[in-house]
Amino acid sequence: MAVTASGIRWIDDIDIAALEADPYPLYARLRAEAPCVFVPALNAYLLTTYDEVRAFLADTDLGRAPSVQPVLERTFGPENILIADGAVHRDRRASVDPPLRRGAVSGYIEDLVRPIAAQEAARLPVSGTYDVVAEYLEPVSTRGLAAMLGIGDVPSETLRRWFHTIIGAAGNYTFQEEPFRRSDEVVAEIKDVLEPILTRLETDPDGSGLSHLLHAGMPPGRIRSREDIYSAFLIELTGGMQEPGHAAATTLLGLLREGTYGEIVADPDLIPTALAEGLRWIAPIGGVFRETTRAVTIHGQELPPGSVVWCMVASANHDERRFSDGGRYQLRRSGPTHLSFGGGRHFCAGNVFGRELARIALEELVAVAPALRLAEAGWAMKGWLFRSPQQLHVTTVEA
Amino acid sequence: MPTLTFVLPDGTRRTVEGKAGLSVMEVAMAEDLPGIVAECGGNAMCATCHVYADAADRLPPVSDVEDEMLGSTAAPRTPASRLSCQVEIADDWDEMTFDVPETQL
Repeated sequence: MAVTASGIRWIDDIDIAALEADPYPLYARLRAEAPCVFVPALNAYLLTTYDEVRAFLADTDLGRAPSVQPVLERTFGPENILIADGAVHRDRRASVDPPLRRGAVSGYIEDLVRPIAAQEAARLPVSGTYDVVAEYLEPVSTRGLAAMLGIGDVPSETLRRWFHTIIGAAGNYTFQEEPFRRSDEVVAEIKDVLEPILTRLETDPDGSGLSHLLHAGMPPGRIRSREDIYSAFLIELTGGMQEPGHAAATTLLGLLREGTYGEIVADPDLIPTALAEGLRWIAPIGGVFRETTRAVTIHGQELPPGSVVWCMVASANHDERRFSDGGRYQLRRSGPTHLSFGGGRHFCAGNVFGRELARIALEELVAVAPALRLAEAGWAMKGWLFRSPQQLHVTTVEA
Repeated sequence: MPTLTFVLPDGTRRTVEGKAGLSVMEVAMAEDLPGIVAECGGNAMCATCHVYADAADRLPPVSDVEDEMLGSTAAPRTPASRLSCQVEIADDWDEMTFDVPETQL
């Protein structure tokens, strides 16, 4: 065999396009044959098994945010919450976390999100075929997040355009100029919209997410810098719009394919369980990366200090060592928790808000569409870093 | 060797050996104990490893970080509430009992 970067030909041949189309077959082979391996196409190690991904993410002494992170820095600014560590990260989380903690969310989520979901659900056709992602789940998700942040007046279409443009830059790992140029334009637009709101909140704080970004954790009389606020806002926009709507879409696809949608119609209390399985089945964010602070051996592979490791939660969630028939959506699955919210100090800040928003979205959907099935147009899904149905065409008939 | 007893919501008792220096959560996870989720893996970021300590007064005090997260547990917080990832097992514990709440999510 020719000497190659990893020493294994099929691993050297891995390319991003194949991952982008459907990464799961490749993850299965990696778990079986090379569960921790250097992948030249990513210039990083790929870690794909459940126990090791979980342990790696939890060990914040071993894995820190990578020191060189051009795509995320370019998109979200230097020392943003995704890549900062230590005191800077603590300050970032102090600004973002307060309205997202379970205690806070349970206090406002019904009043905030239920009317939005009910209103969007009432617009759906009583019978007919529609794309439930574009027509319902993304609007509920974006409007719910906007209401939490305190920008509920911004039209849903604008929010979705912002979101898709920023995501295009955040996933731009081939460093094309166009996605960054478009996101720069959108960021300028966002600043114009936020500035008057922030000016008002400086002297008149409220319970909104933006208000917390300004004031939470700051010494009396001081506010957080605009640059820090915009950075956090862009990340909340991308993560916050993505997880709830996309987790709900994936869950719905799983239920409809397996013929178990009727079970959540009959018993909506099953919806949180259904969502947990949807998050396991297809992680909306497929992996997170860390840089090792010291030498470590994983699956017999010796990683020198400074190695970049992609912890593939999407793969971990399918690990045969922990899940049977992991490629299938099974509503009543038992087993360990999925790792789709990551772990360690960077554990997803919006996990409670996201799950609650998705729950309410599905509750309102089953109420207006008790007889739903996949339409002939089917669904479209791609992506390895960000993955969920881009379209999900469903047909509903009058009950 | 300290001994840890976990009382599950259905009343089942599971007694396991603890090891000084590990957290109560780590011991529970190694035992695949149902009811301890520990989504963040022990960083006081998720509040899904909540337990009620029978002898809370014998444990080290609650830190500010833990205190903040204890405000976000799914089951009600009581004076006995702890995040098991933040409770380090000590050699002088002898026996310690923790009640596992009905829900973590």
